[in-house]
Order: sequence, then structure tokens, then C-alpha cells
Amino acid sequence: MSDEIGYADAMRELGDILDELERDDLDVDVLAVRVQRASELIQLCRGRIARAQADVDRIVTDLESASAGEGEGSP
Amino acid sequence: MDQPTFAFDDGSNSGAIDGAKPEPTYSVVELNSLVRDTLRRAHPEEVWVRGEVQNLSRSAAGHTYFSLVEKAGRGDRVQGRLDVALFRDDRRAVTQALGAVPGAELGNDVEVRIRGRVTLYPPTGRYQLVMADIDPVFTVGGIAANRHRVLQALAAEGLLGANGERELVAVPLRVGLITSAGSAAYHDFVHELDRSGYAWQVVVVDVRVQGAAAARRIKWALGELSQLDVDAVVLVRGGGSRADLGAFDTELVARAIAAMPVPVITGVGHEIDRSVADEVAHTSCKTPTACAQRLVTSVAEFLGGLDDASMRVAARARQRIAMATHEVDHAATRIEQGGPEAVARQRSLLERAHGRIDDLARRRAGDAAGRLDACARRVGDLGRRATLGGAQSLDARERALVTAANHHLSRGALRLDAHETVLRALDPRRVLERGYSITRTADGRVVKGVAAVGVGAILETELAAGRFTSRIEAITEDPGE
Repeated sequence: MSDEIGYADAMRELGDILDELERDDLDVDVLAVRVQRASELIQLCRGRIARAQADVDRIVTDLESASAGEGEGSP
Repeated sequence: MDQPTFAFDDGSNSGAIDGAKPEPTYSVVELNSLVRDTLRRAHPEEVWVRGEVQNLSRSAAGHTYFSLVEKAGRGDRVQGRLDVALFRDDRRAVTQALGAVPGAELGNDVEVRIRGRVTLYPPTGRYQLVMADIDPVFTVGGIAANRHRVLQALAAEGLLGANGERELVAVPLRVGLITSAGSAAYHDFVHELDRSGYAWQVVVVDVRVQGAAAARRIKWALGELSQLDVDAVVLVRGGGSRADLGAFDTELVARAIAAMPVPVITGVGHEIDRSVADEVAHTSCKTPTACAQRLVTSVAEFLGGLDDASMRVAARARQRIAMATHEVDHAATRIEQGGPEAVARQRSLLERAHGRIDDLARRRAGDAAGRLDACARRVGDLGRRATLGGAQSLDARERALVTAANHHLSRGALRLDAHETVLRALDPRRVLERGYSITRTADGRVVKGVAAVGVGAILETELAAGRFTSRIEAITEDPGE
């Protein structure tokens, strides 16, 4: 799986695969390939989201800690 | 300054010449006292006088001194000056009179109408008016007129709102403070800033904001701070009478404030009136504490805005993550369903195709069978028709054949009969019976002429009754042959 692809591109490609899967003229030879690729993209997106979630939580926690620290320092 | 007291001399004349009536020689004090008494006699009643207050000051004993000047027209040139003393005992009455009329104050640059007694102060030899009363209504009018004039002049030059247009930075932590260092105003202001806990940098320009030279000192202080890198300048003074506000109503201070490159915040500590400085300043507050609170509020609002922004960023980020999670989950569900569905759909398509092929094959087979049946039926029909025709034909032919046969037979019979008759007529035995014989060679050939035999040949001759054998002895040919 390519790590270079961005979240937005991954979601776009996922959408394309979904559209393709819903068409009647889907080539059965590529069906499994597409589903496999979609699965990889979903995993990639979930990984990116989890990472973003962790980053946001950490940043917000840091921010709140900083604010709390400033508050304690006030007279 | 204490009220001077002195003992009047009893009139001893040290310069008298014996025998002659000496010309009186006064000591300085005597002369001053004499003039004072003369003045008092000439003006036994108190008089009203009007003029502009300048150089107002107070002594530790509670007396007030100032000059009353008359200027030339609207200019600043002083045409006349009168020293005025307001002693502590009279000051209460004056303060009471001023207090009865809102806005009435005794202060520098204020046009006043006062009543007093004309006298002379012997220690200085200067004549003065000992003030006993004030016309507060006139004073109010004078203050208002002066303020109106200054404000009009500033407005005409576009300076009235000049400082108000300066933008107060979001975090004005560098503050220039103009006040009397160590005064209550100073302490109130600095304490309020310290209480906020923010990292203030306060540059204090220590000036007395009251008194005759206050306006010039304030102007100088503003000029000094305009050279420094400060976010705002705060001009404060502690509580005091309206009279002390004179400097803040001057055109000098107003123009200096208007020229400042940073916002000026005033806190002159007067609850009722707004001074000209208040009108020109970016922001005017009632007290030094309020000035500090204004700055603290600005910083707090900025930090609050930061907190709010950070919370909004966090909320928006989490919202976006939730949305993205939902999108991916939805896509995953669609993929989970879509893969098998696509397979099922393709299978269904295949089955439909298969069904169609079956149908078509069956139809084609049915068609072929039909055509075959039709062919068979036709063949049958044709066969039957052919058979029938054939049979008929055969019958006919049979009949014809029979007929022909019969005919032939009949004819044959007839011919046979004829032949029999002929045969019977031609029967050798019949011929033989009529006397003819048949001669055959030894090998059975019928001898019809002599050419076929030679001399010595053995011949067998058949007769109607019996046969014999003979040998040719001689041959005689028939001449007719």
C-alpha cells in the first residue's frame, strides 16, 4: 500500500471504487482487485484519522495544561 | 505659605532733626502698612472683579493663592495681573458656593468672578485681593466658554478625534504613565495592573499634574513618551477639586494629546465633568483604577479570545475527525456490501444471460423441431400423396399392364395359334408324312444343297417313318442352281 497518498486523495479514490462497484459493467476480473484496494484505502484513512485524533487530543491537552498553568500563576 | 504677621511700629522717628519738624521717614513695613490702610479706606467695601485664574497654588496651611489676569482679546498676552489670596477661613465659604453649582470650580485658566477686599501685603509690598466669595454661575460659564472655545478650535483642525482614531493594540502591555510618582493615582493604577498578573512594562514620567505649570509639564511628558516604544499612554491624577482640572482643559494639553502616535487614556478622577483632555483622548475613564482596568480588560479579552479560538479549533478538529470517521465507516460498509453485491450482481447477470441462452437455445431447438416436424409432415404428406399417386399409377399401370398383357397374351395366343397353325403346317413330320425327308450330315447339319457335302460323306436321312444312313457316291449339281 502507498503511504504517500493523502487522505483526500484516498477518499476520492475510494469514492471512485464505490462508483465502479455499483456499475453493472464492472469487469469481474478487477472486482477483487478493487475491493482489495478499497480495503487498503479504508485502513489508510482510519490510520490517518486515528493519528489526527491523537495529535488533536495531545495538542488540546497541552493547550489546556498551558492555560491552567497561566491561571495558577495569576495573583 | 502662612499668613504673614507683623507688628506695626509705634511711630518713633529715628530721622527727626532737633528743632525742626522732621519729615516723616517710614520703614518699609510702615510705608506698606500705610498704603494698605489707605487702600482699605479707599475701598472699605469688598469689590467684584473678573479675570482668568493662573498659577493657582495651595499652601500647607490650607491657603490658596493665584493670579487673576486679563488678556488682550482672544490672545494670550496679559494686559493686567492681580494677586489673589484665599485664606483657609474664607475658602470654606467659597468651596460651599462652588459646590452649590455643578461644574463650578476654581482652577487655572478658568475665567472667574470673585469678590474680595483690596489690600496690600506688607512683607512683599504687593497689592492683592483677599478673596472672600465667588460667583459660581459666572465661573461655570467661564469654564464652559473656555472649553467650548478649545474644542471648537480642535474640531476645526480635525484634531478632536485624532487620538481616538489610533488603534489600541490587542495586548497593550507597554504603558507610558504620566502622573505624580508615588501619588495615590500612581499606586491605584500600578496596583490594578499588578493584580491582573500580566507582564506589564510601565514607563512612568513623573510630573505634577496639578498647579500652574501642570499643562506645560504634561505636554512635555507626552512628548517624551511619544519618542518611546509604548502601546498606550495613560494620563492620570488622583482625586481633587474641579479647580485642579485646569491643565486638562487647556488647549496646550489637548493638542499634545491629539498629536500622540499611540492611544492616550485619561483618568483625571472627576465624576461629573469631562475635561477637554477627556474629549480629545482615545479613551477617558473616571479614575486611574478604571484606566488600568481598561488595559487589563483589553489583554484579558485577547487571551479570552485565544482560549475561545483554541476551544473552537479543538471542537472543529474533533468534529471533522468524527465526520471523517463516519465517512470512512460508511465507505467501509459500502465496500463490505458492495463487493459481495457486485459479485452477486455479476452472478445474476450471468444467470440471466444463461437463462437467455437457454431460452434462445430452446426456442431455436423448438423452431428447428417445428421446422423438422413441418418438413416431416410435408414429407409425409408428400409421401402419402406420392404413395397415393404411385398406387393409383401402379393400379393404372397394373391395369394397363394387365390389359396390355392380356392384350399381348391375347395377341400372343392368337399368334401362337397362328404360329401353331403355321408350325403345325411347317412341322417336318407333316412334311415327312407328305413324303419329304431330312438329310443331315454326320454332325447334325441339315443338308440343303450339295455344296455342303462331299463325295464319301456319310449322311443320315430321316423319314416320316424311320431313318437311314447313306454314303454319297457321286454329286450331281442342278443346272438351275
